Amino acid sequence: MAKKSPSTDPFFKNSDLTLEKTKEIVKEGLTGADYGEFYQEITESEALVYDKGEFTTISVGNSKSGFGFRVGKEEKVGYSFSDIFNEAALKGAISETRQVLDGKPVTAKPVSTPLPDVTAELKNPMDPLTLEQKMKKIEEIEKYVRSLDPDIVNVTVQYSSAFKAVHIITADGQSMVDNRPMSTLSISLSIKDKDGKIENGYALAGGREDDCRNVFDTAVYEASAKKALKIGKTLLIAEEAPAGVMDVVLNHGWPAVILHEAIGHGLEGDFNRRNISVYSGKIGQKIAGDEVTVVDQGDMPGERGSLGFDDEGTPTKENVLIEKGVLKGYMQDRQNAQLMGVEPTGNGRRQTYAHTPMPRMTNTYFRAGPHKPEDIIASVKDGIYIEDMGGGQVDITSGKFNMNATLAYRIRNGKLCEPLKGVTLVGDGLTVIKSITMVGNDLKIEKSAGMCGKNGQSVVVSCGQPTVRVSNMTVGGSKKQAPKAP
Amino acid sequence: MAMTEKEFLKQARPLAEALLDFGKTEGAKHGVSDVRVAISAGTKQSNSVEKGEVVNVVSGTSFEVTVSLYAARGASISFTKNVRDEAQLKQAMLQNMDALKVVPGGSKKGLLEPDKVFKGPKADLDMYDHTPPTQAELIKYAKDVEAAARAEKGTKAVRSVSVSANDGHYLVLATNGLDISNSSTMYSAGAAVIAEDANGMQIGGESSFARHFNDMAKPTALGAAAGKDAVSKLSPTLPNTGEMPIVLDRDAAEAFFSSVFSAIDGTAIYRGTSFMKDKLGKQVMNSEITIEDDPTIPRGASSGQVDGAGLEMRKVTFVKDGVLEAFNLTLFESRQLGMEPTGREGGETNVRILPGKVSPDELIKDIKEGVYINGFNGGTVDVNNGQHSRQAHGFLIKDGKVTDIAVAGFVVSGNLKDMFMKAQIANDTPSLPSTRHGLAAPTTRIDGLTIAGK
Repeated sequence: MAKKSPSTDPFFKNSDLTLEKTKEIVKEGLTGADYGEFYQEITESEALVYDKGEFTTISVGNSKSGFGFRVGKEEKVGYSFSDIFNEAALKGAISETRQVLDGKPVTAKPVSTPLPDVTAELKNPMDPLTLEQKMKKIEEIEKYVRSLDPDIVNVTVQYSSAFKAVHIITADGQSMVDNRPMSTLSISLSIKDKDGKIENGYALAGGREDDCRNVFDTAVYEASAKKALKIGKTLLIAEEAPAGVMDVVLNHGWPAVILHEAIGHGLEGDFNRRNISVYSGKIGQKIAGDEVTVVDQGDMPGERGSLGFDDEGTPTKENVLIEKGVLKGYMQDRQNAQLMGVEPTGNGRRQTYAHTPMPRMTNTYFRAGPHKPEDIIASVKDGIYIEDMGGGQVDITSGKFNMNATLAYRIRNGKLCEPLKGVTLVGDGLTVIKSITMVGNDLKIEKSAGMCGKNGQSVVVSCGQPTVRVSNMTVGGSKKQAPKAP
Repeated sequence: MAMTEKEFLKQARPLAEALLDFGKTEGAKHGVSDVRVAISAGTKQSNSVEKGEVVNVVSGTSFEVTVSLYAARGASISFTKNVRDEAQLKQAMLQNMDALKVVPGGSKKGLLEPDKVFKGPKADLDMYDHTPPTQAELIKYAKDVEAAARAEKGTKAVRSVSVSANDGHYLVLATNGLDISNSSTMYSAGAAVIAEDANGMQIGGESSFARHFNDMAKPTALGAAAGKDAVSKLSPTLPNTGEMPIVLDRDAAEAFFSSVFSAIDGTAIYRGTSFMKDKLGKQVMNSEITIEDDPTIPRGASSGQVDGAGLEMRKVTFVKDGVLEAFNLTLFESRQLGMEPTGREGGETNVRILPGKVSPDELIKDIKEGVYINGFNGGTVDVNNGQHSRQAHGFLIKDGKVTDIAVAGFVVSGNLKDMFMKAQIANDTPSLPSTRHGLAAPTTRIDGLTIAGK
């Protein structure tokens, strides 16, 4: 079902190079390399910020483009990038990067992964509306948010869209183009109570969108506004969280960021090739209960972390990392796949043309299990329910992670009770995945949130899960009487 | 590879002048009252080594032009493009001139008043290394770091060792008379090392940075420190859950004191979402604490003479004897608040907490049970409600002494308002410029925090 190739013309617009000539130079430049590619990118973006009744940012017509050339042999990688794309710059990049090969004997292995047909049609998400229409819409959204509650003191509406087109030429001369559009709209508000205490609420909509009208849709922004208001109002009455070891129930959707941090990062090929992850050498071992299946899947239509192909030109696909509790495999880019003697998995990603690829997640999720979410909550005698999560971090070597919740409730005798603020969850991945005792039947993939940082590079990802129960997690809060550990 | 200031200006100044002129003449027909053109460029070279061999060499160039257009009614619009072509940039300016017509007015965004724009003379802050190292010297540095790290007993592997050389340049011209340019170099090196024992692996690390390569930490010392750090973290335990004093080493104290700048940030203040909003002139910290920010330090990591708005940057004492003396304001934020701008368009610069009176040992000696913290990982620091809840790692304190019992994976919780008031400091603030600290803070003790451990 090969689709028609879109033109690569936009990539050669201001250059003395043609596609054919570039292919020739790239082919020669990759002679003797185990892996490598020519990577090119065009990004256009715009951002509008409306804060306290005025547009504080109107940044439109932004663009960034450039190319990077990579040549790799075993562990060694040479990479050179430039914002100027012409024959002299490309040849300069090639001669610079090939120095890393040190004139060593050639043992080139052919690329064994089948490469995709060119797929994407280039479509700019910001085109369907004019700037004036977008500004009117933003003012309308701000008015709507203010109308919801007289105690709202600040409203900020932020809109941004980006069009990112990627062009890759591989060692065997294949040229492919991918379209990665994004459009998001966020609403932040501050709300006060009668004592003048202020709390903030926030909600984000949009994601991988090729039409910005979708984020200005009335139903979408009304839902965001109500969510932000609910968070702000709940935090006004929330109590300090307790500190200690407790059972935790995680809501479906975005709270899966804990899966991303505590488990996902440790399953990236580069760490495991070096045997420095807590999951290293554990393939085939049972590391979690039967209800736990973890998947990273870059080819899900319309999801945030999806790609037509990864940033090395490898097709994305469904990769089962943990199946019914058994560790099956890692996420790989070409370099680490080759060095570990496995196939690449479509997880070689980079932030921009100025960065080298490495194994990264795409859309990472727990598959649905057998339990109804209400039964999972009902099973907890004394614990915490995490309705929404902020972000977190992990140290992949010790497996220790930390996550902060933005909205949480105390569970007592199987019922949701008082809201809590300042909940931090800590633990280590291997222990947490073993402690997942119930997995719900309500899988939800997060559409709008998810930026992942690794070695100074940030890429768009998503994660998802059904409602999940984790037993005996360490909860950090500042309430004075700490509960006794069970 | 690196670019000199002269080479940069030769390319950037004619382009900036042409765009500014175009903005003035063509802009006049479109209701544009002011124009600002900023050009930045840089080169980057980084080298990683693994097992004594170079494994990753990355190099590249960047070039970026930002053009902002203003209308007298209080409206503005801007774009940033990494394009060098004058015709393309003028085309983009025309599009934004057209778009500016529909932007509502009444905003306080706008250029600095011409009489406040810094006119010189230009100071030499010695930010550019005119005798840069060769790539071979950079690689040797990285190899020496790695060898020293691997030589530490108890280390298992090196996750990464890299050294990089960057140069950065900018030129800003605007219709209010602003004409500033600067060039600087920045070298940085880092080592991440894995140690292992029967209880598992731990990662440790060390880093160094400097404007001049010769100021960098000695590579063998850097590598050894990274290795020792990893080994010291082996077999961590959890501290007890409960209330106890914590002592922050200078790294953790750096993270703690940086929260002050989140709390006095102009946007949080004018939005009313910082607990410091009504605290100007009031006691907000222990009276031992004075926080200075000095952009005029030669070779400083964040030194500069003029901020992006065109104001001369001077030393500011944000907190004096515990009293909040100034907010950290951009020009726009100062206008929103009706205050004088502080010359901090790009935020705080080289911050130093002045040293206290007692030694770190004296600060710790009466703690029967506590935790010495080397660093925080993530967590929540909310300057609106004061929530502070962060994961930390370090060593146990017992009977007035820091032990070698490593602790990790616990959470330190408290309220920033109280933490600022209770913080007691030692006399060991590092001097600036530092090859280790962006913000120089002394060993700091805070009592009465909640630890979530075992």
